[in-house]
Amino acid sequence: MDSSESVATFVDFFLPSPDARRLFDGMSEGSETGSKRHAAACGVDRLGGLPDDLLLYILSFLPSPDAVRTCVLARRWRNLWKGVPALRISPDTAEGFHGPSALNGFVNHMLLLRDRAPLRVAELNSFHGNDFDASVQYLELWVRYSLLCRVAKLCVASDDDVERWLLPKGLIISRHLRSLELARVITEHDLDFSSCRSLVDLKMEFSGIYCERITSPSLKRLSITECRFLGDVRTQISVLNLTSLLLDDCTGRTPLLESMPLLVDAIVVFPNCSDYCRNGYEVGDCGDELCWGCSNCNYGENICVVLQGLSSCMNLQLAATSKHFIFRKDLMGCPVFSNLKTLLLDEWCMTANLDALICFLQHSPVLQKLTLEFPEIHKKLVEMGASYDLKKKPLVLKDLTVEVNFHEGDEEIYKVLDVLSSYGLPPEKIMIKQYPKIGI
Amino acid sequence: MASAGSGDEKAAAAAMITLISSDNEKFEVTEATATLSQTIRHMIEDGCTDGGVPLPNVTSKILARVIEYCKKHATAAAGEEGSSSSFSDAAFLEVDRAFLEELEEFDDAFLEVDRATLFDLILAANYLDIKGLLNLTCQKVADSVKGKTPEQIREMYNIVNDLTPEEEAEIRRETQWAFE
Repeated sequence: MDSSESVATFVDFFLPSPDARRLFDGMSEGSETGSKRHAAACGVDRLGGLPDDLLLYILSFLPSPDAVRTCVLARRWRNLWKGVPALRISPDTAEGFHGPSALNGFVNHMLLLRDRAPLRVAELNSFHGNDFDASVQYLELWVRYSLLCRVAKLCVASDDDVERWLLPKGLIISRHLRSLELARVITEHDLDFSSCRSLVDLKMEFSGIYCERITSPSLKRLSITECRFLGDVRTQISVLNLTSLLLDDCTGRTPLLESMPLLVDAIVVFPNCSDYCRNGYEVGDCGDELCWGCSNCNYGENICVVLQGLSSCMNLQLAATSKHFIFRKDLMGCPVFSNLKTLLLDEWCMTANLDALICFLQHSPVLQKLTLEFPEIHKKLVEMGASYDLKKKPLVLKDLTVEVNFHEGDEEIYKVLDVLSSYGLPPEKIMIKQYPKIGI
Repeated sequence: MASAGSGDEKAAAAAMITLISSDNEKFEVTEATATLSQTIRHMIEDGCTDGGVPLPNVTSKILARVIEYCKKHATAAAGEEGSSSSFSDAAFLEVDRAFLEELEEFDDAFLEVDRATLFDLILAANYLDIKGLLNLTCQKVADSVKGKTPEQIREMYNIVNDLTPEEEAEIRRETQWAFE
């Protein structure tokens, strides 16, 4: 390190120009003269040379125990941790404690003794340590504290393979909260974020969403992965201003998506949902009482569960296995995807005469790129009851680019390509890729 | 043809901003690059960027690095308010992985600097109000401190312990709950 140069730039920064005033905010005079003295004595204390607000910002990236322990570095650092605008108990940090009571003791001390400085982040992970109840004993209190401190980003996760933290009703109410991440929780009450007017990001993982509605008028991005919905009730998702949606690998009933006119990107992947016909009927309604998927389908008066809400999308991925009928059933009352540019579909759209695929393409007038993923050899479906919303108007595919990914030996694929070609898809616009062979 | 060409050039020139470092070096950057800095964005909005933007707190060496960062990230932020997918959406959905990885690699390589430069970048990012760069550089400093003992941190950053042994013992007793 060139110390003469760093001294020069250090001094440059503290030239008393009006523009530099911001840098002096919150900086005590003692620390300036102090660090200059040290600079002369033993190399430059660049960290100590920073104004308080920048030092606090740096400390806000540290795990909370590390941040608190800076109190013994030097006089200036003694009370600095109390103003750090973050609580950071990451899963690693939580595991660093001997058990839930040690972690609880630390966090409770910290919260009692810190200033009530506003928080930009609160990351609260519990640590199981064979005592689930103790591990979540104070979670509600910590969340309340964080919300009182106007936290902007709140992440809460309990730590257990089986048990989940029951989210108290009406806990999360804040005008300041922008981003919320919940992992390994259960909600038995509707998630109504109407009073969280600044909330734009919501992520839920490994959680039980046992409620009838999720509502947020302000939300822009929503991600729900590996969560369980109820098996007999369709959760309604009402997020009018959403731009991005990820629904991945959830179980239970596929949620009902209400109108999202601003939606741009959506990925909806349902490999394990309850909307599954054990008898392989294309659009469900198999009439078999033993078929849970069809007999409790609860479509009600809804013509469309998923696709209507997604119809403003520009980029869309829809994936499910053959026997999941939810997307095909939706295609019987198919909306027009008037903005759709890129589309990815997988094996659920492989019906006997490809009507499901053709129907989708007919309702996507500006589609530029179609990707078809066929990871498995397709199962035969029972066509009964399937009458897709096909248009009389001929389909013209001359402007479409198609990419097909499939396994060697999957002859069905050539049938798909023949059909697409018959609609005018030029051969040079088809890309065929085989998956790498599995095994040796 | 010719008139159309000059029109384009004019539009391109209008979108250029001149930044002037403390040692009086001039840097021409596009508005998209410059407005990653909220400070400069406000100056542009107030219409006070004619004749260049003097940045008396930033040396040419540091400003060149800052511009390198902004150029790379400006392309990433380009879609932010457009109709197409934005960078934050891509990051949220983790869709455009190749792109995000490329950006991450760039950031990692960008942070391969000596400590003096790192601190200069922090001060410049703070002054210019470039959130992404400030987070990146502050995270780097935080990572260097993480898991270290107070003695190691003092040594690493030339922090002189001006506490008496009695005072230090008292603080440790007060905050015993954090040292267990």
